[in-house]
Amino acid sequence: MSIKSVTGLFIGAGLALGAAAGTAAAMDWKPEKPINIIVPWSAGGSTDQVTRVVAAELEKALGATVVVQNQPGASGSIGSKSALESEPDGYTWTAGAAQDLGTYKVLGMLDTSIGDWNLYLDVANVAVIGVNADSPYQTMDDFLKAMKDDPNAISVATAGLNSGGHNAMEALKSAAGGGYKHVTYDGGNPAVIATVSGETVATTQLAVEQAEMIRAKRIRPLAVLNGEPLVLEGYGEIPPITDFVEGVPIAPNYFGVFVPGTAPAEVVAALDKVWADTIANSQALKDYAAGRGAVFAPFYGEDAQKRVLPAIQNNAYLLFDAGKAKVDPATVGIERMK
Amino acid sequence: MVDDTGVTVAEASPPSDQPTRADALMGIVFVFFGLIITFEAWRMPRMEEFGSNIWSAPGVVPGMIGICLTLMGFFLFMRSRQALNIAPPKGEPGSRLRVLITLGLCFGFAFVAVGLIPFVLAAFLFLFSFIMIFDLQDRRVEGKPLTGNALVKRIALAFTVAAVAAWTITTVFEDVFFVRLP
Amino acid sequence: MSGLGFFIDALGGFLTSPMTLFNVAWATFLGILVGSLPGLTATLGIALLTTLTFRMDGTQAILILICMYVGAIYGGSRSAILLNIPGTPANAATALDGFPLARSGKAGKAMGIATAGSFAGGLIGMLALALVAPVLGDFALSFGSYEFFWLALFGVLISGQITTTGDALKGWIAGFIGLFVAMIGQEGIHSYQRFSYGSSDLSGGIGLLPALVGAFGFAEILTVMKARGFQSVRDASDRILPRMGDVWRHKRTIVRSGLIGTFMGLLPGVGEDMGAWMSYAAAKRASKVKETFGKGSLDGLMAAETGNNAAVPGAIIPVLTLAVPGSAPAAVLLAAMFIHGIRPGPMIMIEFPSFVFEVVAMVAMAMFAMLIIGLMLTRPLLMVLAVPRAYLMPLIFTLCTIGSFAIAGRIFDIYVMLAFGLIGFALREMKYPMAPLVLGIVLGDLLDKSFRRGMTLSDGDFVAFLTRPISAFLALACLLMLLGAIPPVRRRVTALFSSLRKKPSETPQ
Repeated sequence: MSIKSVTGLFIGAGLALGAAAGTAAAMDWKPEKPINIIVPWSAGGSTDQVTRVVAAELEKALGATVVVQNQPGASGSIGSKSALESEPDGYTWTAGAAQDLGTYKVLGMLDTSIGDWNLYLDVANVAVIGVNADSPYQTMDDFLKAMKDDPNAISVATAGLNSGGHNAMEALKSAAGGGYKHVTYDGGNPAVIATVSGETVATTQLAVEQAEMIRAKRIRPLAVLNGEPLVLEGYGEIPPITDFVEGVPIAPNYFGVFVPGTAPAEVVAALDKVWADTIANSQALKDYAAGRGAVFAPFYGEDAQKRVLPAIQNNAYLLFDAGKAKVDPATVGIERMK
Repeated sequence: MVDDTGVTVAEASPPSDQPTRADALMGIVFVFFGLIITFEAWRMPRMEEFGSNIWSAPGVVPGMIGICLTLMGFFLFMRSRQALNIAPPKGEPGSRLRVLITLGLCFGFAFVAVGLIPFVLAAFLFLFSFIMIFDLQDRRVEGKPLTGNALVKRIALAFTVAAVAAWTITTVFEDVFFVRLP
Repeated sequence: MSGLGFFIDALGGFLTSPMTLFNVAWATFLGILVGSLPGLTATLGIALLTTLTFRMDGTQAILILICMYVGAIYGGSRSAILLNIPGTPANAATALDGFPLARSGKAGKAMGIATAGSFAGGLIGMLALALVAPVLGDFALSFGSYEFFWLALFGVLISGQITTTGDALKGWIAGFIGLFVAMIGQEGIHSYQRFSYGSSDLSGGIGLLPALVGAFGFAEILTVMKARGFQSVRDASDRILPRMGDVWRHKRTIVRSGLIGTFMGLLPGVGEDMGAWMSYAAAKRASKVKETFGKGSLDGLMAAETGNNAAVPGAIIPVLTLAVPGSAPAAVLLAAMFIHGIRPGPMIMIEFPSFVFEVVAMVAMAMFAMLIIGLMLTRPLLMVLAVPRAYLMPLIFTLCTIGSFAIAGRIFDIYVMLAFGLIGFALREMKYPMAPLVLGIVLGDLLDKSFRRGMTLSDGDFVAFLTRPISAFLALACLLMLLGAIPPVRRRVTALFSSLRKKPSETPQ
């Protein structure tokens, strides 16, 4: 066999897939070449997973090849930059959490704000306060008391400074008082594993990342950082933080596909239609969300812009107050959340 | 455990701890390199003002690496300082020129041409010129220089190989691996 | 035993379906191809196929991805043996003995041995996956920040030591340069951009793959072109199918390397590279003919290839039992499982008990496909050796360039490849080994974060790094290696041991 013959095989497989996707709805915009979605995080992460599910739905709807390319580095700012600086032909998009994209400017990493992008959201993730199953903290009240009495004993694993987990913990601290020891890991899963192994007492990473360990009773969920309880298949109901503390700022962490604002109008119009018709009814995406403890969130346009704002405000001021921001969020049009 | 190779490697290499002049010089380079790293690590923020543990500061591990490199550079220098007066061995004739031509071709392709002209064209030009230069030269060295018809045939071969290879590589990467080439 | 039943069911299902066999064949073949091309890696291959297999049935899709994974890690040994350019970082140890073997006319034999080793390693890892996956998965949890710090340090030190012939100084210098390279870019704890000086490219860090392709690929091209006359080698192996006796002779190495490789695969962030290096180091230590290592030792080659392939099923174990990947390619595999609605994790034995054994069957399919296709490919691949350098080298360089670019679609990565080619060539000319440098880049991040995280957890008390049993053991191993490198200490220890062994009474004063 030679290189050529395997090429043949491979293209053959590709054609078979293409044929299955041939039921594209009539559109004004017909992609003429493969669309690139740059995932600015490593392959296998939570952004990567959900984006690949969405990419497959888009292939079906647009009748074009959608290539997911991982371009990780510098908290996702490198890949986002590539998408921002790509040719404005509407064929290069990026993906990730809106709260990251919205705060690169504050961090001095990338000169862009959330309004520069067309947002196509897919899921929202909520943070869960989970403790090691062998730890003495049985309820959220135990945990809150310990944060006040012995902050140094409460080691909390998160995926890093501007991760959803750290945002959640800071939000909790701002409302409930006390303190904790922040320990960062390379991602949500390693942070959860550190809690399972007992290296840290607690983790405040996203529900998707803790779901399996909660089901296996190796992590005890104390509360979900949301206004309403979270129902997790195979576990039951996790109470909302609002049952225990008042005034915790709540900001769901929206994930989605982001198209540069410079894209041609027909691309945006076509995508709006795909999101309203296909994604909003996508069983694959709904199943993915339900199985992983995420919230199905097929929003786009102005609606999406409004929804992602609280998380961006939260994240921006968290970074600013910790001295990690290069730019005062107020000067770039991000107001402090009331 | 028996090992049945009993192999004699074609180019027997001298043991790597035979001190040479280059080692002594590199020892000094590593001392300075290590010191620069350590200094740069020292300048990094300590993050204490935000309530972080001083040992979690960004400069801690780079600083340790810098110190280790400095120490190792120092040992390397001390070990090989007598060799400073030994003249470096002469290389094979023409080897420097061959390395320079290779470098020139490779940089001309990867540093200049890629991104400036379409990839397939850049690859073809690089492959063709590389093959021509070194094929003819290697044949001269072997004492079998080509002339006349044979030379034309050889050029045609190089042209074909370069064209087919450039096209195949470009197509495979663009259409099979979906890489958007510059 | 219902596990065996599940396994036989799954295997039977795979073997009787022509479509499955076809998928196994092309995915493994493509994997070998991806692995053997410098710059294309298992991670890239699996990520690409994840999208392409999205609409397939979950079992078929995962099967294809596992075949790609197994094929790619194995395929990297081909270019390591034939060209001295490891196709993936996991094959750097393979090149140490594989390439000298090829240069002495034994490429066919080397590839045969590497294939046998890969297959045996894969089987050992597969057995571990089938029999004790949950136990092993939980054992991986006993590695915390303290242990990972020492393991990373140990990895760099040992690879520096075994790749140098005299003392380890130059190997360690190369290793620490690698560690430094890993420090460039934004770090993960405070998001501070180290050694970046305002460059957004540098703030993303130096990619491992472009550095590997440069330091091994481009540097090797320069080395080959430097020589006045270049003898292409004719392979003189009488046969390429390894004899059972040849393989059996290495049985201890195989078992040892298989176990070490499986274990390294288990540990998150360590993976196939360390599987190969640790097995190689252990084989050298146990060998009676240590001096042949690095000059064409079949035992060393066997150890490296058994170790890295055993790490593949090893890395799948925590994917299944903890939903934590043991290596970068395994991370993509995990994502693919999630996408197909399979939820690996501690509940998998309860929720999807048959799936674990289906995966074992998939690994078995991939291993056999690798064995068959790998041996079939040996003869055609040997022709690479006969290609004149004027044709072969520019082709490899074109692949190095496009491969570096393909990883993330960044021109900057091509520049990284060029820079590491120059540095690598210069250092190699001065007898610095390249493998510790690459391993330093691999392990630098783990070492950095584990140290700082450990110090945060212990409130700045270094003693905590020494009190747990595994970390104390690893720390002692590092210390002994360092002491052994100091010539007076080494001489005295050797003298002490030899005098003790001969006649204790005659020990000189």
